[in-house]
Amino acid sequence: MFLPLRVSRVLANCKNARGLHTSSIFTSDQLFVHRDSEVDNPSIPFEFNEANKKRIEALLKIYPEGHKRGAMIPLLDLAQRQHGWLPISAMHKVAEILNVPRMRVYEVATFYTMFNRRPMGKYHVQICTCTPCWLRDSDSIVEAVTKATNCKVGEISADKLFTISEVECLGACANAPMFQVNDDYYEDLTPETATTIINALKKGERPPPGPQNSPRFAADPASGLTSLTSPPPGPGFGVRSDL
Amino acid sequence: MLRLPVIKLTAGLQNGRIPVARLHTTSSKLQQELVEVFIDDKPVQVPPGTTVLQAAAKVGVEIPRFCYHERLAVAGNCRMCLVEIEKQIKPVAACAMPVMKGWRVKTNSDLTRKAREGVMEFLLVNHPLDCPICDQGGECDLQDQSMAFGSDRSRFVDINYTGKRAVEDKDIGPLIKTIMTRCIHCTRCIRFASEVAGIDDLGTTGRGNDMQVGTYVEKMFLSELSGNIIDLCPVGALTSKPYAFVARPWETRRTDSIDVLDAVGSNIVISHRTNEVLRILPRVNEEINEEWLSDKARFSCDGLKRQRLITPMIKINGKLEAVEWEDALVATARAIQDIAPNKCAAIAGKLVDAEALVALKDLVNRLGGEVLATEQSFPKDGAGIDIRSSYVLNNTIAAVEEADVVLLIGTNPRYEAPLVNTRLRKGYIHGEQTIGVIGPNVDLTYDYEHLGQSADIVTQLRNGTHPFSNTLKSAKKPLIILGVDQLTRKDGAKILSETQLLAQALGENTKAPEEWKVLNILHTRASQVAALDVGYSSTVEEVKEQQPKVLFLLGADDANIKREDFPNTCIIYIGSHGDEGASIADVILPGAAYTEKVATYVNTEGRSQQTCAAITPPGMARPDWKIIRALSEICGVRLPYDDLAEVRSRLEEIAPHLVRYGAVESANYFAQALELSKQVPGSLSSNPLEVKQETLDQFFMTDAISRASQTMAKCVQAVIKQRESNL
Repeated sequence: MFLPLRVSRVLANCKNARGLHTSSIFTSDQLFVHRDSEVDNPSIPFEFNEANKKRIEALLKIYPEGHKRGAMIPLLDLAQRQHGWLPISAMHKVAEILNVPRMRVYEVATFYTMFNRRPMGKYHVQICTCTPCWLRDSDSIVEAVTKATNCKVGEISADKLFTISEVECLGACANAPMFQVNDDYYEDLTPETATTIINALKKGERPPPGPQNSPRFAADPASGLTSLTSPPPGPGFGVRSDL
Repeated sequence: MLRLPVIKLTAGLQNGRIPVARLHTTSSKLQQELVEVFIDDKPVQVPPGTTVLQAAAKVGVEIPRFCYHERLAVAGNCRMCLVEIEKQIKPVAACAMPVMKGWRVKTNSDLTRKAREGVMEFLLVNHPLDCPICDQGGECDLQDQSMAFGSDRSRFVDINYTGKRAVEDKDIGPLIKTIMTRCIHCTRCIRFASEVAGIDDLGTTGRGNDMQVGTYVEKMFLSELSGNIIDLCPVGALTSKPYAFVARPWETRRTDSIDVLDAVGSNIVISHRTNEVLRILPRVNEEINEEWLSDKARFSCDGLKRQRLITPMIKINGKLEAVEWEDALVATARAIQDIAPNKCAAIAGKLVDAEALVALKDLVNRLGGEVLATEQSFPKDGAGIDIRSSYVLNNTIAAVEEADVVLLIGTNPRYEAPLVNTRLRKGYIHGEQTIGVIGPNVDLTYDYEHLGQSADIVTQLRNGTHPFSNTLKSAKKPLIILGVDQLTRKDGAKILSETQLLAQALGENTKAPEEWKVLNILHTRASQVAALDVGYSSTVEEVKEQQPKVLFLLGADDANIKREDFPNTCIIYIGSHGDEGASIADVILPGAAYTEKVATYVNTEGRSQQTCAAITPPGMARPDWKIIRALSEICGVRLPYDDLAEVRSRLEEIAPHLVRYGAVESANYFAQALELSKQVPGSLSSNPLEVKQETLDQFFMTDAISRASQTMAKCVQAVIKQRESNL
C-alpha cells in the first residue's frame, strides 16, 4: 500500500529537482600521502653533491633574510635533478637547509605536478594528449612510444630507462603532436620518428630536439613563410626625408 | 617564519581588537578615524581595517562562516561569508574584506542568499551524507548552516555514491579521530597547529580535487593542545577518539566548572549523563584560557571512573577491608583519642579544594596539631608564605602576552601550564616578545635565548655581568616567571630572594605602569595557592621529623611520602582515588573528585573560582569537608559549620578573597617581602635548575586522576612510540 505512494512521491519530486549530470570525478594517479618503501623512506640519507651545494649557496643569496623559504622550489628542483626524482629524505634535507617545518616542504612538493615523488626512469617521456595534439593524432604517438619502450603510460619500463606520462598542453600546439623527454621538446612527430627517438635514447644518444621530419626550424609555417618574407627594413625606414 | 609584520597586522586585527601595546599610543588617534558603515541599514562606527564580518558582529548580525575564526589568521577559503555590498557587482568575502567608508552591506539580500546557497551546495557535493553515524551530529556547523542557509532540495541524484570524493583517514594519535572524507578544507586545524600550538605538522597536500588536509607522513600530532582542533573543526572530520559514539549533544547535561589538573584554573564545561562524566570542553574565559584547553584537562576525565575509592576502608590484619562509614569514623576517632598535643599532622595533595583545606586545618588545630604541610614545600626563610606576592603569578595570565621581555626561571610552561605558554607564544608572534630561559633547554614552541641552567645567572643578570641583562634592563614591560618547583630545592629560599631582588631592580628601572608586576611564580598544583593562603606552611620533611601519631593525607599521593618514614603513625587518607596515598593508609575515607563537589580553588594568579557538582560522588564517597566535619563530631571537637555556606563564611574569616569568585586578589607588599628575603642565609647551589616535565610524555600523567586515565596512558605510549620514529 505504501509502495505506490512512495513511487508517486518520488516522481512528483523529480519534477521539481533538476538532475545534475556528472561524469566520474577525475583524480590524480599520484598519492598525496607518503608511504614508506624500500627506495623511499626517511632513513635513506640524502645529501646534495658539491656542485649543487654551490648552486644552493648562490640561490639562497637571491632571497633576503627572513624570506629564505622562497628558495624552496629551486632547491627541490635541484634535488630532483640530482636524484632523478624526489624522495622524502630530499624534502627533509631541503626543510633542514631552509629551516622550515617539514610539512611546509611536503605541501609544495605535492602541489606541483613536476615534482615526481616516486622513482622515475632515466628519461621521462611526457606525451601531450591535449586537444590540438590529439587532433593531430597523438594517440598514435602514445601507441608508438609505449610499444617502443615496452612500458605503459604512468609506469616505469623494466630497464628503468623510461617513464611515460600523458600530460596536458605543453604549449607547443603549433608543432603538434609532440612529447617532452626530460628538458627537450620533440615536435612534429609521427609514430616512426617517435620510435626512432626512443631507440636513439635507448642507445644513450641525444637526438636533436625540435621539429622532427620537418623542414621548419621552430614554429614557423610548415609550407614556408606566407608573410614577413622580405628581409626586415633597416633604420630610417618610413621616416620623413627632411628629418 | 610566522613572525612577519604583515601577518602580525592581520592577526592583530582579526582578533577583533587592536593589540594592547599599540592601543596605548594610538587610541585617541583611532577614535578620530572611525569609519561609518551600514550593515543592513544599521549604521556602525568601526576603526579602519575592520573586516565586514567584524563590523556586522558589532551590530549583532552574524554572518555564516566555516574557515574564519576570531583567534586564528584569516584564510578566506570557504566563501560561506559572501555578502552583497551596494554598488558592487560581485559578492565579497566578509571575513577578509576591510570596510570602506559609507559601505552598505546587505547580509540578507537575494544575492547574498543565493551566494550562500551556492557555496553550500558546492560544499555538500563532496561531503558524505553520514550525519546519522557522525559524532559531530547535533553540534555541526555544516549541519546547522545547511539548515539555515542551504537549499531546501537537492540536485544530488547519485544514489550509488560513485561521484563523491573519498579521502583516506589519518592516524594522528590516540586523542583525535579523523574521518577525512568529511573535511571541507577550512584549514582551521592547520592554522591552529601552526599559530597557537606551534606544531607545524598539519598541512594540505595535493591540489584541486585531490587536495587533502593531513600530515603527509604518518605522524602523531605531538601537541599538548591537540584537543582544541576537535572544537575548531566545523564538521565531523576531527572528532574526539575517546568520546566516539558515546553520546549526542542533546542527550547530555552541561555543568560549568573549572579544571584542577594544573594551576591555571581553565574554565570548562562538563558534559554528563546518568551520573557519568562523558567529556570535558573548554568554556570561554578571556582572562584565563581564552577558549582553549589542555589535553590533560580535556581527556583525563575517564580517570574519574577508574581507581575510585567508593567505600571507607580500614586496615585489618595488614589488609584494607571495606567497612561502613560509622566503623571507619569510629576507628579513626579511636586512633585520634587522647592524642598528645602536636602529635597530629596533615599533608595536603594537589587536587584539594579550599573548603577541605580549611576544615582539616581547623580539625588538626583543635587536636593540638600545628604541622600542616603541602606535598610541594615552600621555603620558610625570608617572607615565607606571609606575604602573598612571593607565591602567586602577580601579573595575571592575560597580561603575560603584553610583556616585551620575559625571563623564565626553572620552568617549562609548555607542560606545567600549557595555557600560559599559549600567551607567551602569542606575545612572541604578535608582540615581538623576547624570551630568555634559565633552565633546561626544552622545546617551548617558540624561539628563546637559552641563558644557561645555573641558578647564579639570576645574580649575574642583576649585577649586569650577563649579556642578557642589557635586554632586560631596556625592557618597557619586563616579566619574570619563576617555576615553583625550584623553590623546593635546598636553596629555594635563596633563588626566590635573588629573583625578588632582580624583579625589584627591573621594576625600578623601567617605566612600566604602576600595576605592572615583574615578579611572578608559576604554580603547577591547583590546590597550592589556596593551601598557602590558608596557612599550610610546613613541608613533608618537617612532618617526617615530627613523627606524628596521626597523619592525615588529604588527597596526598606524592611518591615521596613513604610508609617507611612513618613506622608508628596511623595514616588516614581522605581522597578520591586509590593511588600512592591510599596504598600506605591505615584508614581510607573516600572523598569526591572535582566534578562531584562544589568547591573553591585558587589558581596560580590568585584568582578564586569554584567547581560545580556535575554528578554525585560514586558509592559511599562524600565531599571531603563533610567527611572531616563528621570525623570532628565523633572525635569530640565539633567543627562549627554544617553546610557549605557556613564553611564558606569560615573561609571568608581566614581569607576573604577565597569567596570572591572570579576576581583576582592582587598581591602587594613587594618591598616588604624583599626586605625580609634579603636576610635569607646561605648561597645558591651549583646544581643546575631542573624541571619535572621536559617532554610531552611526562605531561600526561601527573596526578591521581590522570594516572588513572586509560586515555592518558595511551597518549604516553603514543608519544614514546613517535619518538622512536624518525619522522
